[in-house]
Amino acid sequence: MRRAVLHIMVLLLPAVIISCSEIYYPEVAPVEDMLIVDGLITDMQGMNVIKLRQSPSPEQFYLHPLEVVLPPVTDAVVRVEDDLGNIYGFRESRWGNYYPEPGFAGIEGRSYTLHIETVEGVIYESDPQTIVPAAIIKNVYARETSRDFLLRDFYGKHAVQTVDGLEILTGMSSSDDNILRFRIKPTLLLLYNYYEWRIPDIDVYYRWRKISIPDAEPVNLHRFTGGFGEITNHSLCFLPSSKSYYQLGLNEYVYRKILIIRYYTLNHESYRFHTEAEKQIKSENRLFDPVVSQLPTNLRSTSHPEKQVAGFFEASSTRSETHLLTERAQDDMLGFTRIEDLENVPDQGSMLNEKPYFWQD
Amino acid sequence: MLNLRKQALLIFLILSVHAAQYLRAQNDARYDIDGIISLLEELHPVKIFYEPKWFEGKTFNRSVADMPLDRALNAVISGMDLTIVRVYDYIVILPREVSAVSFRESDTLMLTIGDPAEFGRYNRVIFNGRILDGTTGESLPGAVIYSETTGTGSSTGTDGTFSVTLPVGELLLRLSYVGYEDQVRRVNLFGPGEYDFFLFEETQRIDEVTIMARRAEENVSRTQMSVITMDARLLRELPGNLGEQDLIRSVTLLPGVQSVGEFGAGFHVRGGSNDQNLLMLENAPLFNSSHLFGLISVVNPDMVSEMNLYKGSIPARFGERVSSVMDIRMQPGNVEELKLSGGIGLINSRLHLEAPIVRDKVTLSVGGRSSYSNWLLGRLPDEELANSSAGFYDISSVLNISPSQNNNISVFAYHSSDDFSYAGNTEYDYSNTLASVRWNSVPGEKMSFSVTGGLSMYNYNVRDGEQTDPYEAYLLSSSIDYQSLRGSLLWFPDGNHRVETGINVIRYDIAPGSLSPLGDKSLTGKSVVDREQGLELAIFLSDEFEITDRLSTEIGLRYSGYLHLGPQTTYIYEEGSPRRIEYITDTLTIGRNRKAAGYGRPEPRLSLRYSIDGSSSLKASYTRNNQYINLISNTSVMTPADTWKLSDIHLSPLTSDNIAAGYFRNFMNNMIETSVEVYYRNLRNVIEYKDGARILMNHSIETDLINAEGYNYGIEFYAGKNAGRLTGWLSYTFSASMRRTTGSFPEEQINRNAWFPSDFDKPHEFILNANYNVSRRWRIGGTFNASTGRPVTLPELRFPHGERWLIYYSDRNKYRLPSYHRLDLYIARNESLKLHRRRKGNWTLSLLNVYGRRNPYSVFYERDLAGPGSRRGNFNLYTLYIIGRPMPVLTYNFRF
Repeated sequence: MRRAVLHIMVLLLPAVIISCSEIYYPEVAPVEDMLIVDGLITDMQGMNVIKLRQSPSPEQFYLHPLEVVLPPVTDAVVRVEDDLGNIYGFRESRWGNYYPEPGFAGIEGRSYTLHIETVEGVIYESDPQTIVPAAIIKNVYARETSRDFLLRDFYGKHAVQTVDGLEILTGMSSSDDNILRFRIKPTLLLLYNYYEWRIPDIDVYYRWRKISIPDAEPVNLHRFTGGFGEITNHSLCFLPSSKSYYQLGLNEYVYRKILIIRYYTLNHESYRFHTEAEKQIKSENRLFDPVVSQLPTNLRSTSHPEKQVAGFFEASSTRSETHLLTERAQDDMLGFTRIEDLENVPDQGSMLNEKPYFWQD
Repeated sequence: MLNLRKQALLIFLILSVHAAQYLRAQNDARYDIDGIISLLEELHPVKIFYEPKWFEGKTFNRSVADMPLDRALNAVISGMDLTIVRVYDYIVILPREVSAVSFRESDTLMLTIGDPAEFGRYNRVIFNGRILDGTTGESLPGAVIYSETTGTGSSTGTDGTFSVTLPVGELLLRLSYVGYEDQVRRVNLFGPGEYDFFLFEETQRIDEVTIMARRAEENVSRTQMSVITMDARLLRELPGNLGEQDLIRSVTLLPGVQSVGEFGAGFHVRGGSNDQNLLMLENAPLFNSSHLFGLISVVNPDMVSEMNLYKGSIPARFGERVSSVMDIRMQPGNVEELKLSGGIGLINSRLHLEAPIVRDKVTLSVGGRSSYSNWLLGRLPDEELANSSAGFYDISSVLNISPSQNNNISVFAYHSSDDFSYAGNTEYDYSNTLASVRWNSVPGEKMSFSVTGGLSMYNYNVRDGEQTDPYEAYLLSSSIDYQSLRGSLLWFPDGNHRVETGINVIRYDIAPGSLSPLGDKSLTGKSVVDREQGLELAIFLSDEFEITDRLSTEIGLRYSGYLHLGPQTTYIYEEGSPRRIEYITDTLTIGRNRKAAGYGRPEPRLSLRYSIDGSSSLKASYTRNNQYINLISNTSVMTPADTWKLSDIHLSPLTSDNIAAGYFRNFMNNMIETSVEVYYRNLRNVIEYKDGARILMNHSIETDLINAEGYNYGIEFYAGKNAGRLTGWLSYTFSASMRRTTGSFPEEQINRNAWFPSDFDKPHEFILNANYNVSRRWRIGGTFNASTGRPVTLPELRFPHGERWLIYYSDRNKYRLPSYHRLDLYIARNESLKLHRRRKGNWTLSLLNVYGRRNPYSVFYERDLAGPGSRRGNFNLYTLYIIGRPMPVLTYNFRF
């Protein structure tokens, strides 16, 4: 549907001939002193962190994300309390990033509340968040397809470009027959070779790189839902075929594509937050459709109600699976074979004439 | 493009040469006085008396007979010391001195109505009759009869009949109709009676050019207020849209009526949303009034005979929507001869045929429009655009049958279709199909009734991925069926009351959405959102009468009842919890035609008018309306993602109370009309949307909707000059349109339940329209429109979450787009001002957006993916403007 609307708008633009768009710099009231929370606790050790930041200055709004400087909120007192009254303290290890004691992990079925007290004495508190049972991946597969992207051409005008590639899909089910809500963070682990010809020998470099997939569809929306407790044909992400999208050099050749799927099973509040975030991101290119998707937050200041908060404190169960992309002979579908977990493989690396331990032959 | 220009030029030259040759041959013929008078008597229903010897040796060009009657007669006596006296349908040519002595206006034009023997029996009597075109005998719907003596009047119905209650005695009646010469008649009223008046089209005088006229006194004398009335002639004079006459776009240039921008479907009346307007085309409602997503409206301007827009004081016979009713009547067809008209414009061409099928009994009027954007797209160099399509057509027809003088049957049919596809991938189409049959009957002097059956069907379909992505290919469909039966009775029980009563029955059948796989490979799951069915029943009674000679009122009551019917699956949500899927406590299955929910509400109406004198009045009105159907849309442009939704157990009907008051005054013998109107409207159960509400294929859409409340108020100033070389109007509106949610839970609140401006809130709007008749053939004019920018919600902050950057938006509608202002100019050349010439054509050259103002239409947030100087992932806000620079448009209209 989104593409349909996009097409219509693109089509109407030349029809109207003289319509156009230009960058707009509105006078927006600065958001000052807003606390930004990116909090996550899961049922897995080592995957729990509370990141606290201050709102950036308004003039940074149009900067590239990497250039934006978000002041960290340091020296805050951060703790998480469960519904049994147990309190878990979080310590600041890097500026603005707070971690629990080693060994901490949430428990399925328990509810957790985040408490923050800044050095200025402002107290923030979240709504209780329940960790729901983890969902189960039933299958992962791929198919050849193409996607249209609305890009700006060399002259800055909108143009639709069709890109061939693979669409990765999955089927999932709830472990407790409750409404299935999850978000997925797919990462492509690309194994590739680089050949250096040194007559009479050939040096072979075994290289790998993890690529986070920015246009993934992490949240399960309802289009292909088979029922409350399961989902089929959920589109995970799109992998373009052309190696130019992976920024490989001339003598570099893709050897294997491995998909590392980290998924989080969400409660209603977390699901709503991520759904809204997904809609917000997808509405970016909708020219005539300025859908406003204000993100919900489950945090507020209990001591200073006028203080604004953005962000979310999420409590979810999480699992990870690693799948090797394989070709299936029986049909034109591509399949995946589940392999050992490679999530801990370094983000990138290279070995000369020696295969790394996770190399898939 | 060069070939296109050559072809167009060639066609134009051929047409021009043929037209010129024909006209020259016709005009070369010469006639003596007997010949020209015979021709005039053939062409006009008059008898002309003259003395042939006064014209000995004089011959006349054939073209004289083609002139309007009065002009033709002036041409005949041109240069002679003769004058013309007209008594009813008899015209006498006399020497000037004889006429001065022998005929006095009071003697010749005094009408006697009723039996003089009954003088003294009545105080007030009903005066019935018709107002007809003096040339063709066609009825003139909307013509005004007005007593300058008492300050009261009435207007004719669609069949040209009027009924007015007047005090007995000698009266001065003024008869007026747009584009026709006013007629002032002295009437001696003794008792009830009937009389048919004939009006003649305006003539073009050398010393005074009058192109546009409006109904004199109507704005002052009618009891109702907040009504915009236009007929075909006035519509033609209104500023066009992209070179096209466009009823809906033109209406938005009048006070209290606004559009979202230069693009976008429908219109907004006094701060109401688009779906709060009932747009009736010959008694059948239109559910999507736009071609090409709002570029032009689906109403063919050639077919329109009259339009009434009730902005606030809605008569009791209308209901269904809370904001306004636009009642559009189509041309019934010419009773005398075959007529063909059309136009060639920027986007489409149109044709309109009027034909008498059985003389004086049956007429047919058929009009159609078709775009040529497909043809243009096919010639674009871009391959994908060349494989795309964007087009529309519409066809309307009215068959009018008059089996007897007192009975009339009108059969109306309409179909419009739009389609889009991009590079053969996504195909998108929607269509409106309307039909109605209306029977009007006048069984006696004091009574008339009408029965109307109408239906309207709106469908849209989206097909996607069939060619490029067969696994995801899908077909998405939605539709709405509307059927209605209306009966109304008009009764004049005595000399003072005009009573109207009736019943409306409406059946709604909505298919909100059906998603199905397209092709064998598609993995799209089939999903159908439950159909919705509803029945609305309304009865009404109204009475218009004079309390005193100066004070008149129209009081009415409409009672509407509504049933939401099965089959239906209804979710029941936990009390005290937000409306979410997980709080469903029960599921009700409602059987076919069983009641799922029901509402019944009275809708009182009251209008008052106090005549200060013959040229000024004070008015006030109160109206309550209920609306049981809503457009579910969270976009500013009507898109295929929009669906219609009936009131149900969760969504209460929208209810509105409207209060208005105004002062109306005309100057310079009604040449200048002025008015000031203030209004206040409150709204209950307005639909608002949760952030990121999902509209499409939502099986529990009530979880994404919020019941809100709102109010609109404003003051509208209007001054218009209706006659003379310079015509036009000036209007200024100050208004507000606010909304507020009242939810208990944060997710059911917008802006923490604080008041916020609605999408249609434009506090200031100024419009200046001016038309100047430079000569008999040339006309120049322009329109300047300035308004406050509409409210928008803008990003205030960007923040990281996980690996993403997200947007923190401002409160809903906290900001505004920059102010809107635009100047359009035009120059028009009429082929001929001879109104009876068989072939007529006119050219209009418009220059839109003269100074190239880039008026923002919308603001959107976008991440750049590629481009020189911009890195991947750079975010920006963009404004979109539709007409961003001066745009010339040439339009040719013709009539045969």
